[in-house]
Amino acid sequence: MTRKSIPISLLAFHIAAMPAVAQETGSVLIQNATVLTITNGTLDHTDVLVENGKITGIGFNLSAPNGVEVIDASGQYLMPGIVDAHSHIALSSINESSSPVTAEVTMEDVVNPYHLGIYRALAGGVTTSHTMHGSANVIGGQNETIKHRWGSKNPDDLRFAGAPRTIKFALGENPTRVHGNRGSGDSQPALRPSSRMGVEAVLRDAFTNAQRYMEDWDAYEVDRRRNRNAVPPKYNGRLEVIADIIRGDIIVHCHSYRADEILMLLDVLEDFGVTKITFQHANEGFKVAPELAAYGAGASVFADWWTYKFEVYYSTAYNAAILVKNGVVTSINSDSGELNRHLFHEAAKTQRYGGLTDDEALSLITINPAMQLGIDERVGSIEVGKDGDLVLFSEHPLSVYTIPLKTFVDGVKYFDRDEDPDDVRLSVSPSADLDTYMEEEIDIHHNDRVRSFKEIFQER
Amino acid sequence: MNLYSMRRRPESWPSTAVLVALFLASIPSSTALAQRDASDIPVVTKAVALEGVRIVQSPGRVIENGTVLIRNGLIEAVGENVDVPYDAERIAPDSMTVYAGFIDGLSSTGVPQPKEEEDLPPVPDRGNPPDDRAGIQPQRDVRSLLSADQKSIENLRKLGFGAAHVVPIGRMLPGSGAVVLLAGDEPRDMVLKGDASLFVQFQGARRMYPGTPMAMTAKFRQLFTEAKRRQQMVQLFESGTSGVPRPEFDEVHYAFFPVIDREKPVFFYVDDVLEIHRALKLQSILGFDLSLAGLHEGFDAVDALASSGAPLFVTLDLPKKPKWMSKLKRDSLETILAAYDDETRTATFRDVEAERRNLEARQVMSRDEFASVAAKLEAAGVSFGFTTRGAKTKDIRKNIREMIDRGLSEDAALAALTTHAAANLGLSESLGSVDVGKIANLIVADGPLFDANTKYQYVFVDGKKFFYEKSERERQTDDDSLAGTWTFTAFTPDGEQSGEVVFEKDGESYTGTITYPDLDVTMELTDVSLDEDHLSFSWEDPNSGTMTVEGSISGDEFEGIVIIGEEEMLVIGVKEDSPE
Repeated sequence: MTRKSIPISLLAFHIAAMPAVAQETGSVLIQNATVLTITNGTLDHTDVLVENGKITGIGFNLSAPNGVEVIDASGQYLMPGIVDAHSHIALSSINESSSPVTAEVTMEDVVNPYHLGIYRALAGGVTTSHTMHGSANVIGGQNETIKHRWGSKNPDDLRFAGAPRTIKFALGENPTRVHGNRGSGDSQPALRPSSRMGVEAVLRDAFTNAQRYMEDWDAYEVDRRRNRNAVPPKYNGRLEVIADIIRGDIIVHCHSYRADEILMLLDVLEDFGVTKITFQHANEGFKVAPELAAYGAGASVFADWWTYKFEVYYSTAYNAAILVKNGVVTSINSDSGELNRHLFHEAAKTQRYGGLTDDEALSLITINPAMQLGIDERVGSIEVGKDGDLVLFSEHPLSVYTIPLKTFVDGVKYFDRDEDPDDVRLSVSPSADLDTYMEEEIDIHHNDRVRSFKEIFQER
Repeated sequence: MNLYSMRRRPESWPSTAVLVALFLASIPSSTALAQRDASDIPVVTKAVALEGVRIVQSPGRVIENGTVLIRNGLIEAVGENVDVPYDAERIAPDSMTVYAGFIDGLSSTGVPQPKEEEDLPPVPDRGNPPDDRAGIQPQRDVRSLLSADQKSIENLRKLGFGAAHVVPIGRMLPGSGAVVLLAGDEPRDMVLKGDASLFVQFQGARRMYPGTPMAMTAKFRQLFTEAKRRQQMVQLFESGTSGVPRPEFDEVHYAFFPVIDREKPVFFYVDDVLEIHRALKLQSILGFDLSLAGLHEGFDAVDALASSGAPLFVTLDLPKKPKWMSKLKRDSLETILAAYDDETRTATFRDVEAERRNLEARQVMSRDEFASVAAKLEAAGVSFGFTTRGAKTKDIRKNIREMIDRGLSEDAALAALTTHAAANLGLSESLGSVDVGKIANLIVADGPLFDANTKYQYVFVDGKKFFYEKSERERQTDDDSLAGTWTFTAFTPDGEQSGEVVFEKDGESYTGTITYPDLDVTMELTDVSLDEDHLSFSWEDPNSGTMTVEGSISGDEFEGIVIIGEEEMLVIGVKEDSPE
């Protein structure tokens, strides 16, 4: 028998390296709009041309190539498609809450293109969502950045090809309640963490284990060059992912509220050399804005949503403005299938509370979340060469009277207020009783087709 | 070959024959007989000849009048001129057609339902539970779990199934499947092919890891990738080199070795379309031989399924109909479909009815999509089989008919139940058609295979004969071609007009009523006459006066004219139901 050495390529794989599937692109010429470029000011009476999914022209009197649709946007406002940095739409499960560390799971595996939340988001001008694992675990699953290509029935068609990998972390009350049984009344044996100290310990253990895992593999790589009987370490999908965080291949997006826990995570990350971090929610981010800016951390916050649990009592609507003025890359997110339909209003609140300029306010829902997701080279502003992700509004998007009229992703129009039939669902239950059908739909809210982990736990 | 060791005894053997068998068997060795109880007595002959039958050897390959000879569980001869040997039991049924026995692509037929997990104590760490509690049991083998006396075996056999790919019952990784023949006194009599598959399903662990689909896909990647490493370590160790650490044995990872070597396919049960994509993606990342069964929502992934090249088994289960739909016949559903308006933009509070009608239409469309998975795969040129898993026994034939109504050809339906299923299970040499050398799994039917009124009178499994007598009701239906509920449709200048007609037998003659569903009025029929296949009847229409229908019945169908005064118009009829 011939001797076999173990090719490492068989063991190490990254799902992100999957071949990208064919994703539809389109062409359109939008004429005579007020163009809010975000990165280059506001351009009056300007045309924007998108060809095969990319912006190819911004200027006056652009002509449409043969067969390209022309839209007269006189009196209307064109802005880049809104980027929602925190969402749970288009998923068929959200929390794998059986373990405090589940880095190996990925939302890529549970993207649900049938979810009506995608169309609703388009109707609110949102073209990209960062659809995330829940906040049950200290280290949750990997998130997925999607484009809202409504109508496609293959989950891979929604992927934002080339977007960096990201992962969900969570601090504070959620992981201690779920795993440590703090306040949950659960009769299952408690696990770590049941305190904020425990959260830090879980993080440090996970990173330390991943470091050892990396060392084991490095040692094997050296050993196998001189020892034909070298034995590779056990494969561990969970530690592979955490090792990739340490390597800088994955951006951390951490559910957090309190200033002390934000500083704690900065300490932990610094110890393990992790630099890519955006704090999600960060209701007390304003207290540590200089520290966040100094670390290069982002903050993705609510405009004014708080007091839904103890750790979010100390909050202010000035949070986003204070963070911006301190130089923190800040975004406003929805975390909700309802809020994501009026993120432009959420951004406008920072003008009432904090006096941000139009461009600063709109940056909170465009280029800034794009930076936090590592996709700012592609989306978040209207520039030649960027993706044709655009929204046309009836009024200035920061006006309370504005209405999104048309939404484009890669030059393809997926929402048009003039062609918006009653029923846009991609699938309808063949079995539901009609008399209760509406109530069932309401009952499961934005998560139709979504089964919560709790529900799965409770099933017989 | 030792005759006594065969233990073959058709269950429905007449008692006189048993006595004859007992007598004959005693001749060669009376001492051997004395040592055995009655169940060990062999049958007098293991040859059966089905004579004067129509034989559908496989879809499109038909012998109009021939003989099938079975011996020792195998088909010994098939053809128009077969010499029937002296020792064969001769069966010459009247007007019967022989088909190959059906093959179930995936189910847990013959596997007893395991005990509930309710009373087990909580695991200490639900994030890292013991494998068996988490439903990670790929090392289990269905052969050790089978029970030959399960009612599910007889239920499936009665429907014409002779073989089934059966898998253990469990959660994510319940174990290995086997192809079994649906007859035998003990599991070992039934097994045709062991270790036929590694069975996987997206069935999460309860209150522990892996609970969700994302954790199950992650767990599968973890197990497969680590199994690959362990297998290579085992190979290195077994290559005889010293200085190689002893590989750690564990049965969970070892169960993946034949899958990694592509000696054994992974059978994924996937019902919704997202599960289909998940399984295909795992296959494309990890690389293994994949078969997919279930595919309830396969209508939305036809291209992906076709291009995957994976052997497919479509469910014979269809969604439960909502109450409103189950009351309506097909023509009413067609009317609802025709009224669908996909451009409605009506505020709900202004016109709830319009929205309701559209929703009804969408439910019909959705229902039709579920029933059209097989037709769509056929149109895409995919060879698929069927799976009975999750399908109620009483619905299986009805559901196949609905799939045929939605565009599946009868040949493709038969192929899915026989030749294609055998090919997809890698058993074309032994199963799937009525050919010499194949296992004698046969159906003897008294009519077209998929007709509602066709009775499968004999089912042979592994050469064993099972006889199904007609029930009282089935005999009555046979005798009476008219009694029951019919829908008649007249083609008038004003369009199609339908009426529901109920005929009842009254002694030697018939009575009946006609109902106009649109108007909800019912009238008595007069002069109902049936002479051979010629039917005529009349009634008084409130507007048009006397109406008379005349024409001929052929099976469940009627064609003729309706006479109104001087005018004659074409009318067709379909029998919907026979009397209870």
